[in-house]
Amino acid sequence: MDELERRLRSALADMAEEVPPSHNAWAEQERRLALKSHGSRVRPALLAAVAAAVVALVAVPVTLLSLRSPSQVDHASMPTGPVSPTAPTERSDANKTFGPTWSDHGYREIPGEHLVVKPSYVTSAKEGGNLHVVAYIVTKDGNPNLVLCTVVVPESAEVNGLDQRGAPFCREVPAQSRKLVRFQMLTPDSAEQGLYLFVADPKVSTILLRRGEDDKYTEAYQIGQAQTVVLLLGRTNSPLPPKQYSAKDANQQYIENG
Amino acid sequence: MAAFSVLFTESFEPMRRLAYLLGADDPENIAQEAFVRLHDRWQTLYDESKALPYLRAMVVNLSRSRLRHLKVVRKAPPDVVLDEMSAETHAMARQEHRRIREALGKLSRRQREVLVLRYWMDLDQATIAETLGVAVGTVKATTSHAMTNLRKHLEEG
Repeated sequence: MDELERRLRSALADMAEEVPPSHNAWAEQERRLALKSHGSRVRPALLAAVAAAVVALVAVPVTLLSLRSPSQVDHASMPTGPVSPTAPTERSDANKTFGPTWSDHGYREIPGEHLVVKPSYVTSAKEGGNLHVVAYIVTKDGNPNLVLCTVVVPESAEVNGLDQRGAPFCREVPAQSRKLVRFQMLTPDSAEQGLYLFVADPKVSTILLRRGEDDKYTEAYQIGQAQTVVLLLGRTNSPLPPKQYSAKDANQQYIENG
Repeated sequence: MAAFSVLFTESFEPMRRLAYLLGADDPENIAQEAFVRLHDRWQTLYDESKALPYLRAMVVNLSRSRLRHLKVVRKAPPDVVLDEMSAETHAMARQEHRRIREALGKLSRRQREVLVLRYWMDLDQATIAETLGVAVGTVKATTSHAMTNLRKHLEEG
């Protein structure tokens, strides 16, 4: 080995040592595998639903036309203006939960609180001792606004259960927002610094974050989902909040910058 | 799936470090994603000894994609990413290592890949060729060019 090779080996070994140790890598891997398997289970169901809708769209008019002769068509009853969309309200959608079936923490119902996004493991709690920080989204007291909560619980314990450590830390997500990325919150009680939770429109698949202290980027990814909202987690490993973000859809297309 | 879990425990950190040395800005995410893709293929890997080479190749490919993506979308060339990382630890790095780090940042993507795989992962030329999906001859030539360029950049610096 010549001198340059020796110097190169030494420098590479030195650089590799700069990478900080990873916390809970296996838990993170299990979560990704669970989300992926959930997605693959949802896809056939989604395709079946789309196919059923197409069949219905074709079959219903054909059936109606076959039942009525052309002379029987009542033109007066046909709509002449644009049909106003009957979009479901935030409240009704928010109450429909279809988050990942995998979750290592259950949720115990409490009066006045409705679960929207199931509890999902975020990181280890700074207290250590197999305590987890989990995040979930609820609505409270009939108010349609979403509330993002985190709480410390022992491994595999349920939220609002007897083993929960202290009260949840909750923040209300602003109701009126034209942004796809609606809300951001630093995870409290975390053993890691710079762990951010994001509440976003379901169109958002991942969020590219520009770190506060430099121009390095990191990616936030989904850890929970419901019909009208997704919950994402990003590690900046920085004491400063992210400077900028770019939200991407499932096709990796940029759909919002902020 | 016990074998997958064992492989994860043994290889996650090296894969994360490999992604970092290749210049990726989010090595944690790349290593995680590489394992997710390996998991997808697990049942089709007839021989578990194929898992590690597949993982290495996946980390290299994902790191390439990441750098290419940043270059196109953010107009930030991959070398800048590496240099920025080096700047972060500038104060702590020894002068010698800092110079080599800067010189590495000036190499082409493939040249940096072969040097990292050869001199950090200690892979032989055939394994590097398999990881990068190129001929052994290409690995030999690329390594030689990379070392020549590295030497030149160090002398210039």
